[in-house]
Amino acid sequence: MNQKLYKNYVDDIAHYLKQSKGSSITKGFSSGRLNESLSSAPTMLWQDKTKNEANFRSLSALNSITGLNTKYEEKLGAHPSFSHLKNSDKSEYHYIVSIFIDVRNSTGLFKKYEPDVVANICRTIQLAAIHTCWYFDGYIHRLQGDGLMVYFGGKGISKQAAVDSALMAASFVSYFVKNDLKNLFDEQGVNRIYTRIGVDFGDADTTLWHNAGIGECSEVTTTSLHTSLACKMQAQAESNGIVAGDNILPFKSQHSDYFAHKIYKHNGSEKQYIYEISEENFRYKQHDFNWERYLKNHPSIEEDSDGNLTFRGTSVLPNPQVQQNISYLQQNVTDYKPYLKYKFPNKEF
Amino acid sequence: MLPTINLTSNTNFPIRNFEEDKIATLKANKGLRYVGKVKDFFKFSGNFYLTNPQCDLIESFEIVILIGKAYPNIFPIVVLLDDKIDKIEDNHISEKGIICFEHDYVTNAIAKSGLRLYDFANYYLPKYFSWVLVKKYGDAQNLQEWAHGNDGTKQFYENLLETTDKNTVRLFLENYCRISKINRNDKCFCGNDKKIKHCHIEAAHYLKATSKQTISKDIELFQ
Repeated sequence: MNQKLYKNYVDDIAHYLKQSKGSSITKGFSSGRLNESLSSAPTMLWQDKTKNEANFRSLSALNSITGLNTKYEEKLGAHPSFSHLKNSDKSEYHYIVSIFIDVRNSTGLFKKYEPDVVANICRTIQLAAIHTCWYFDGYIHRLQGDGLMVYFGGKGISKQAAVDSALMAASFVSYFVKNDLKNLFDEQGVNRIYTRIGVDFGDADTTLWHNAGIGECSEVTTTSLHTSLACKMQAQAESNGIVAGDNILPFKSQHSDYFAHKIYKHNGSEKQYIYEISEENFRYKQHDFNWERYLKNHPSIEEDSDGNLTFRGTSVLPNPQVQQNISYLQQNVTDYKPYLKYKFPNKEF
Repeated sequence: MLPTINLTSNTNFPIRNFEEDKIATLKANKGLRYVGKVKDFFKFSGNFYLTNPQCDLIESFEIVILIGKAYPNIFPIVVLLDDKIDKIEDNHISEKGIICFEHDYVTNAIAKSGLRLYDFANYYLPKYFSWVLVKKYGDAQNLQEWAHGNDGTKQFYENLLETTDKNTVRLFLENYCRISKINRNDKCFCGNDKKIKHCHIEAAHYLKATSKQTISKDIELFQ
């Protein structure tokens, strides 16, 4: 990989950030206004399936981490392992790793940008997070404002694999927002957007899956202290930080390298963040996760001189869509003859 | 004779100027962005999505499109930025990623009659990227291409005049470069006894898009 992993998303956001109110190059994307009045509502580009799939595929270097060849698949709706619970009165205990990703500070964008530009910026960040989670086999459970709630794991997936995937996905999302979006917001004089992420593991004995709501307005969800805590931990994370519950640590043998007990200052003294149910003698610790070190120490990842992550052993896998469409492509080039001149414009474009 | 490329597609909306062309192009190519006027070019950047008739994505390519200020009488320059295609001569692309879509004299003729970006993107981008993908993954034996450099220019004239006889081509070019105006009732430049209106009038008009200075240098290719 010789370019930024999230380049497609970054380029789009950079373009939107130049479209401040009154800018002369507003609507540099198609805004669906051909033969329509200028006051008509703009087309929301993030809804374009082809664009989404192309952006998703642009992250294919992540396959070198997962060892899979992940296909674009819009995994939405009930978690497939528990979809049988939809509109059912049954329930089921099963482990799950929950992560909450919150994208913060987007309100400041309204000072400088029209709502459609703010929407495009926020949705592009959100889509980058969704696509990253899909690569790590995460299941988008819910979109919440600019953030999202994602489950990792399910039937037939080991707890270890689910925890590893959740930590990797959370790390890459943080990396994208902290590193790849770095400078873009500063250059435009707007407050930088950042993420806060909470992650926790709820084991089978404490995580109940069931239907919630009625009819169309319902979802298969979990009731678990650890899903709730993941949400609370997100709120305690630093800018671009990840806070993990204590249940995560047994899955990481070298956890002292990556996790530090979360502390806060109270009346000048440092105290530890502990969720406590005193009647049950339940004390649950929370930890700052050093995701930057975690990524850099991954055997498939290295850092180039500019601080960008690169992937060892990334090979360009044949694109199966090309083979599937080869007869169409051949038909497409009937009567087409490219040329090669030897004198090209000697300019840098 | 060269196949006529009709690049004024029958859209159900008007494209009367650059602004309308830009909107139509961006609407049809969701991966592209209009960057603005950069130096002497209208600049677009982003991704071109090669799709099948069901609109399923086959592959995306990161490109820059530059349109000179002579728009619409200009053939766009397209630079490939990613490494999904080897930047080698056999792929009709320069080391810096500049794509050579067509023989120069064909592009000159297209530019002379006016070319909308919408039509260019609709015709040439799918053709070229399909071509290189077929070359790499499909049955490359059936692919057509102009030979590189001057050999391709020789093929161009042979196609244009529908002859492989180098003396005929040379004579045609010498006569063409000598006259200042094409008169329909004059004898054909190829040496045939027919009037040019019954022989190579279309070829003569086709060449008008390319400078006589350039064409006169090609005469030596047929010595």
